[in-house]
This record gives sequence, structure tokens and C-alpha cells, in this order.
Amino acid sequence: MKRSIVAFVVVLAVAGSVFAAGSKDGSSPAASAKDGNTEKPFAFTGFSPFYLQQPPKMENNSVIKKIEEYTNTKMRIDYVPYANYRDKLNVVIASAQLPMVTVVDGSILKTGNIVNAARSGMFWDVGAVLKNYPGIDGFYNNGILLANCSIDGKLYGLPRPRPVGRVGLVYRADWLKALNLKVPTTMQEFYETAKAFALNDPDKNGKNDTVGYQFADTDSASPSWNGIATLICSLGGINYWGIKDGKAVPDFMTAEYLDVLSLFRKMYQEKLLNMDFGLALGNKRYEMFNKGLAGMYFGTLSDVPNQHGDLYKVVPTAELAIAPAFTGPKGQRTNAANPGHNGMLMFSKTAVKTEADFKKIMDFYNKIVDPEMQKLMTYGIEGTHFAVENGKPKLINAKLLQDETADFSNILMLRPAVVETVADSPIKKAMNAAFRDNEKYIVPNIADALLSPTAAERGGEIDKIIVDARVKFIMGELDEAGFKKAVAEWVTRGGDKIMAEYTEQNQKYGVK
Amino acid sequence: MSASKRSQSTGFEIFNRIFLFMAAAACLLPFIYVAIASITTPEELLVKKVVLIPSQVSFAAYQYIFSTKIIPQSLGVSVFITVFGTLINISMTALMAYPLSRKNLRGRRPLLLMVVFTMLFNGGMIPTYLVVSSLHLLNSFWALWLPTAISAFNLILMRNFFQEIPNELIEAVKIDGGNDWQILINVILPLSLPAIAAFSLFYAVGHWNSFFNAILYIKDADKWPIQVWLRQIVLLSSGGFSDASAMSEVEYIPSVTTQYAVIIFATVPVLMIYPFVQKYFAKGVLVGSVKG
Amino acid sequence: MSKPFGKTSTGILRDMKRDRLLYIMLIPGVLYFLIFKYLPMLGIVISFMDYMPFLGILNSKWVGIKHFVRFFTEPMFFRLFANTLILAFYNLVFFFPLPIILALLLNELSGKFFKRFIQTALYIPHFISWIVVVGISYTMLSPQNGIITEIIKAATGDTVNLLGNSNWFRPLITLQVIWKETGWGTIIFLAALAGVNVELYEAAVIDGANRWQQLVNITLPAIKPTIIVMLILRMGSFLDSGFEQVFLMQNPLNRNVSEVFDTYVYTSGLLNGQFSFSAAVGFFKSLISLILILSVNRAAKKMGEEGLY
Repeated sequence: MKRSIVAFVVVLAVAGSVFAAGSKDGSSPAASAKDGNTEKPFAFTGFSPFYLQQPPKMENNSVIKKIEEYTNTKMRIDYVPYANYRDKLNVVIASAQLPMVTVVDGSILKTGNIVNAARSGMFWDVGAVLKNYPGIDGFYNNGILLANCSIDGKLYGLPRPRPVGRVGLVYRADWLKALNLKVPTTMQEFYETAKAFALNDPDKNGKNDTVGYQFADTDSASPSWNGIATLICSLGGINYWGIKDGKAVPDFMTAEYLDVLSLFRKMYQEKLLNMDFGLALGNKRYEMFNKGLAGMYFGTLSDVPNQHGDLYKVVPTAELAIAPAFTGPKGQRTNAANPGHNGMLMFSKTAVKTEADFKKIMDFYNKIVDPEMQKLMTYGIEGTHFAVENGKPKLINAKLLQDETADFSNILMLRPAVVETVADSPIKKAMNAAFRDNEKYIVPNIADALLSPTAAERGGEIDKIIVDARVKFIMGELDEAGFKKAVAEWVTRGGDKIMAEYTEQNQKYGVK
Repeated sequence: MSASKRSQSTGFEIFNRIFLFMAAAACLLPFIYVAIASITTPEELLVKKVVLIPSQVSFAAYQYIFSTKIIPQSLGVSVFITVFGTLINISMTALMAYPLSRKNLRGRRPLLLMVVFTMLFNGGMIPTYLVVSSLHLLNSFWALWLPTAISAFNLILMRNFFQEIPNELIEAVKIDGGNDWQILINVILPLSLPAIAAFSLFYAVGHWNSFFNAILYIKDADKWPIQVWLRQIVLLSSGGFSDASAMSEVEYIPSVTTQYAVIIFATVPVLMIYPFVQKYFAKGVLVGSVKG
Repeated sequence: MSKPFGKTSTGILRDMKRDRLLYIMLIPGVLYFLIFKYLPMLGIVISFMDYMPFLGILNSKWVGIKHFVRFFTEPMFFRLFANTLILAFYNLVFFFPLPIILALLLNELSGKFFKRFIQTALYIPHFISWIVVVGISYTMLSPQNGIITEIIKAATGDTVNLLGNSNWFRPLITLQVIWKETGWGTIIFLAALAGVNVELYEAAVIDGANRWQQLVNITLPAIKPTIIVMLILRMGSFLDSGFEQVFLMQNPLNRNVSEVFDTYVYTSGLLNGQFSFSAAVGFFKSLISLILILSVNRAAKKMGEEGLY
């Protein structure tokens, strides 16, 4: 028996080498087209995350074939599951083995790794040549977007647009009707609505088990996603970072911030929001709402069409609606802005070796923004994915369309921030309408366009001081003096440097 | 010889049985909860946190897992990686453990020190990646087997076990003119079966659960082991990426019950190995070997 | 008992010739360690540099101990050190003995089927990922309607928030580890117990020894070497806190005790791709672990036990 183990090992060594086929390092094959020769398709390599449970299918894909024909290219993309994307990207960058086109996610774009790589010349300067590509130039008609993606005032890739007014208040419209209330339009009305939802038994089940507002704190000082920034902006305050007297200040140093926290504190005491807000992780932030036990939440509007399937199963008569931007004490309507992008497509100089190759890639994207390509990626091919009915496209094979376009078109291709199709559900239409509406009232976060090395180095770590203090304040375990003390600690542990760095960057590159 | 023959105190035996049964139950109950949750409908789970008998059984979560061709295929990949990986592990570890267990081997101390040192200091992910890349192992299964071929921890323990084997048995082979190789094959390995079984289990589980190295070193999606997909599904169903919801329709975001199905899926195959391995943990392997 | 040969140089050569098969056997393993462990170790040098991937190791700036200085002068440093150490001690004192005791109890079990069933059940928690374990803990301990919270409320009338209470963080972490790893931890001790010569027990029974005496005189001495080795090896990972578990259990209310080395490095180092800084902290941890292992190994040898080397 032991002999056969030895034999086994020998066999496996042989077998294993069979599987070692493909061990060539294939990260950057040479571009097959000769300079200036437009007949052979231009092959380019890419690196991209994917979000679904399988990678996008690139072979036998009718949509991709059409794109490759139209643009005379051949795409060879390495995909990584989003769950591991960040780590792999860091390693690939660290070993300087980037392919030609890399998807750099919004959460990574301004981190030390990318910024240093950009500053040391790893990526092509797209901003400098943008005007040579009228298609792309016209596609981005939003100066804030380009500014937010800049590093030291330069644009090192093609930004991927996303809705700018992406956070809003979502509420149970059926509860509002049941209690005969109006849609809240100010912070004060928000409080009163929450009170009614919590105390007046809106689901008429005789039990006092509802919570007015589901609050889920997040672990970053930037409070965009949990409503704090939205409320502060509605009071006329700043969105995480703003300029006061020429200096950059964070919102937790302003009076409006404490006003909002005090409101939440009151709501906590009156049990108008969930007691475990400091602990809600991940998807748990929708749990009470999806159970039909909470009336409102502030969150990403993009989630509204998709995250509440469970709610409809528990309460089939539930109706959701999105509240428009609040009005502040001075009569203005303001809403917190998101960066408006989810990173960029960046082109590494190690793989895109010549300017001619760079031009070919830019040509590719210039063609992608053509209406014909955009329609292709939204609806697919007539006869295969959709049919024309009454002059409008109607999807006949939605699953095939999803398989052939979803992950790759939304990540690797340039698409507009808001993509509307005829097949949108009512709630999706409401969401898109909210996006368009919010755009009018946004207050940008000035730090989105700026860089601070200290923030990159220890921002996440010292932000925790503020998060911890804010949670304790809302729970009543810390008073105003205690909170101010936490802010002072933030300042001494690097916050002062961050403020100075943002101030300096703002003077040089800021959006005035 | 069974334990009961060793002494008369049945009171202890009863207490022992009860205690161990309760410990086993404490370990088992959460798993049973997970198993039941995986076949419950999401809305029932949402409303009643703990479900003992689901009012409606639904295999939707498992259907979702199998909804792509690539996921069942990756199961085969995982098995392949685990089986061959463990064979490499055990052979290399035993091959090195035996010489290190011989107390009069010259250079034993420095060698052991060299091994122990690697448990404390390591170059990290990126230097290792660069080494693997420069050996042209990228995109091959060898990148998953070689960099983790020997666990220093297991090596030290195995050496320990080898040391405990009575010298008389080794001398017996030497007297008959046998060499070290024959000692290893005919004496050491058979008598260390419980240890070999234990380490095989450790290595196998390590291979089965690993995913990050696959992501790092292997480009072809159809060579990825199942853990890669399972992790992605868990992240998807916990609403991990808001960008994703912007592009997929409701049916394509897995519900919360899928997480539970994923756990069952990832765990059960390994649990099924154990009963087969268990017999190697039986006592009495040494009986009859030292005579005369 | 092998007697050492002569200490002269001809003695060394003679020994090596005698053992040449053994040296051949060592070749694959030694090659492995050199290529895949020591070669990458050269990368530790980046903890003394400001490593920029695009520039590579050769061109990145040398900064000496700048990252170490940053680490030590962080006000957080002593807190981190204390939290990490205390958690490690909890683990050592409350968790380490348990797999041994459990293995001994399992060893006393008769009935093959029952034994196999119990063991399989005990191993299951090891395979359940921390995400699930922490998720279940949250569900049971949630201040809003967790089962345990309700039980405590019924018994004492107080609504407690164990998850947000920093006094409960360490006990909770330790209890979770006990639940998850005790069963699996018995494996190595069971393997050791399986190797005990059965004839010793037979002789003891004939001499009239009871269960307890058998335990003390035969079983424990037989597994003592394994216990000692496990203890020493444990020192090597003493400063590792089980990142995933701690990270998931951290929240604003318990951060003063829950921030440990590993989570700190993750937030301030790895998230931003600060390779040099996280390498420096890793280097520091390794240095401390090395000192720990060497000391404990030395102590074990002084007490007459076999060390690691």
C-alpha cells in the first residue's frame, strides 16, 4: 500500500504537468495591430471585476461580436469576482503587471496605491488629449465629474459616470396614506413622520411594534449613506468637507452636524429608530424595513428596485416612494452629492507602450459612446434580444441580454449615469426621476476632487474616533462636550494635517 | 481493548456520555439551523428568525447555486486540487519529517531552526507572487500546490510523532540490513497512521477552503475552485455592492437564504471525508509489534 | 538509544555518509523552504523603504525606520499592544487546555458508532465561517430581540446590550473560539492517544489501577510531548488575533478593547495599499513572536522536555 502511494506521487507529477499547460505568463500580449494598419483588429487586454455569480461570457456573445466588428477590435479581459477584486488589483499593481485597460473602482481610485502609481507616471494622461475625441468629450458634459476624478488636476483615465444625487429618503407610501400624512419636506417634518410611524400603528395590526426610521450607521466618518449628510445639507450645511473662510473643514466641526445628531438622539430616546443602529452590518440595514417594521430609511436609491423583494413577500400591499430633496430653514433646497462616478478606466503605460496604441484605445471608446453602440448595450440586437412593438423596443429574451451585456457593459464600457429603458418598472422610473431631480440641488463634497496624503494614510483610522463618538452621542452615552473632545482628538491625531492639505489642494485645483 | 474493560466505574461513563452528547448538540444545533434555513423561504426566515420546521420547503437557494455551468464544474476542480494537493503535502512533509526525527543527524538543529523561523517571518503576498510568477507557474495548478507544499507547523508535529516510535523497531530493520528508506516505508509510516490521517485531514481541509491563492494565481475562470464562487455569492446576497444592484434584475440577486445554502454546500463534502478517516484514529496500532 | 559518534571532522563526514539517504530525502523539503519561504523573505526589506510598485524594490526610496517610528509613536500603540496581548492570554488560559481535556474524555468513550457521531458533530463548527458565527451571535444577542437578551431580561429585568458592552467583548470572543475550535483541536491529541501502547493499560488494570490512576500514570505522560510542542508552536502565533473574527465583532462601542494589531494594520495599511507600513508592523510582530518562541522553547528544555529544535 505504501508502494502505491509512491507510485501515485509519480503519476500525479506527470498528470500535473499536463495541467500546467497555459502556465505562460499571459498578462500582456503584444498588440497585434501594426502601427497605422487599420485592417487587422486591435487586440487589447483588460482587468475587470464582475458582480454576478459567473464571469461575463465573452465567447459566442452576439453583442460583443457586434462591438468588435464596429470598432475593429478584439477584447481579452481577465475577470475577478468583486469579492476579491481589491486585493488582486493591489497585488497586480504592486508587481507592475497591469494590462492595457484596468477598471479602477471608486473606492480605490484615490488610495495611496493608485495615486502614487499615477504620480510616478504609470498611466496615460487622458485629460490632455480629451478634446481630440469629440464623442467622449461631449459624453461628459459634467465638469464636476471630471474634477472629482482628477489627481493633482490631471485626468488619468476615463471616468465612469454614476448618478450624482444618489441618496434619498425612501418611505412606505401606504403607511403615509393610512395615517393621512403628507410627504415630509423638511427635517422637522421628517421627525414628525417618524413619530407617527412609530406610535400610531400604521400597519394597523394592533401592536406597537413599528419603528419610524431605520437607521444604520456606517463605519466611515463620511455619512453619505446613512442620511446624516443629506439632513445636514438640507439645513444648509456642507457635505462632509466644505470651505469656510477659505479653509477646508469637515462637517463634524459645524453646528449643523450637532443639530442632526441631536435630532437622532431625541429619536433614539423616544424609540423612534432601531436600537441596534450601531451594530447593523451589511444587508442587515434593510432588515427591519424588509420585515415591514420600519417606515423610512435614508439610503442609496439604486437599491430601491432590488433590495426589497423580501418586503413584498411579507407585505404584498407595501408601496414604496422616494421623497424629494428637503427644504431648509432659509427656503433653499439642497441635497448631498455623491462623487458622481465609480472610478475610472485607466490605461497603463507598461502595457500600452506607444502613443499609437493609446490612440487606438481612445478611438475605441470614442466609438462606444455612439448612440448605436449605447442602444446595442441597452437593448441588444433586434430579433435576438428585443422586438419592435408599436415603434418601441420590447425585450424578448431578457436573460440572454443580461448574460451577454450586464457585467461587461456596465464596468468596461462607457455608459451614462442614468440608463433608462422602456422595460423599467414603475419604482425604477421613480428612481430615475429622483436622480434627475436631485441633480438640481446637490452640494458637492469638495474633498472628492482633492487629495490628502495624510487622509490616505490614516484617514480611515482616525475617522473611527468620530464614528464611535457619534454613536455614543446618539445613544446618550456622550454629551456635547464629550463629542467636542473626540473632535479635538481627531485633530491632534492627523486631522489638522488633513485640513491643511485639503485647503492647499483646493487653492490649486479646487472647483471654485 | 475497549475502554469499558479498563475499569468498573460506569457512573463516570454515563456522565461522560451525557456531557459529550450535550457538547455535540451545542455544536450541531447552529448547523442544523443553517441547514433548515437553507431550504426555507426568505420571507418566512425574515419574519420568524428561528425556524424549526419550515412551513414551505424551497430549494430555490440551491437552484441558484447550480444555475450556472461553471459552479458545479468548480466542484470537480476543488476535488482535484484537494486530492493531488494533499498527496503532495503528505509526501513532502513525511519525507522531510523523518530525517529530522533522527536525533543523531548532523545539522538537525540548524535545519529545525530554519523551519521554525519561517513560521514567524514571511515576505508577504507580493514577494511570493513575484517568485511564483518568475517561475512561470502562473495560471497552473502548481501555483496552488507548491507555495504551500509543507506547513512548518505540521512538519514539526509530524517529526514529533516519528520521534516517539520505539527504537527497537527501527533497530530490527537495521539488523536485517535495511536502509532508511525501508525504515520509513515499512515501519514509520504504518505506525504513524493516526498522525498521517490527522495531517491529511488538515491539509485537505486547507485546500478545500482556500480561494485567495486561486484568485491570485489563476486567470481562467473555469479553473477556479468552488470557494471562489461561494464567496462571491455570499457577498452578492448580503447586498455587498451597490453598483451591482444598478445593473441586475431582482431575480438575479440571490436572497438571504442562499448564504445558508452556500455554507452547507461548502461544508458537507469535507464532513463526509471524516468518517472514512476515523478508523485511523483507532487505538491498538502498536499491538503485537514489539515482541521478543 | 543512539549514541553520538565521535566529534572529530572525520566523524562528521562518516555520519553524513552513513545518513546520505536521509539527506537525499531532505532535498525536496529544503528546496521548498528556500524557494518559497526564504526567497520571498527578502521582500521584508520593503519595511525599511517607501515602496512604490512602479519603481520596484531597487528604485524605491530607503527610509530606514520611519515606518517603525510612526507605529511606535502612535498614541494607539500601547492600547493595541495591550488589547492584543490580553486577548492572547484569554485564549491561552481559557481555550488551550480544553481540546486536551475533551480529547481525554473522548478517549474514554466506548461504542464505535456513538464515538464517531460525537466526533463528527464536534468538528462541524470548525467549518462554519466567522461571518456566520458572528451573524448567529448577533442574532442571539441583539439588544432588540435576541434570544439571550430576552432570557436575561426575564431573569433579571434588565435589558442588556452585550454586543455593545466593552466588558463583554473579550469573553464573547473567547467563547466563540471555544465553540468553534475545541472539537477540531482534539484531532492532534487523539492521534497522540492512539499511539499509546495498549499493553501498558492492560498491565495497569492487572495491577488494580483505576481510571484516574491510568490517566495520570500512563495517558498524560504519553501525550506530554505533544502538549509541550503545541504550546511552543502556539507562541509563534501568539500575537495573531484571528482577524476576521475580531473585525466582524468590532463596533464603535467596544473599540477601546477590540482594536488589535491585525485590524489596525488592515485599516491603516492594507486598505490603502501601504505596503511598507504594513510590512513594518508585520516585521515587528514576527520579531516579538520569535522572542516568545525562543524563550518558551528554552524554558521547556530546562525542564527536561524536548524542544522544537
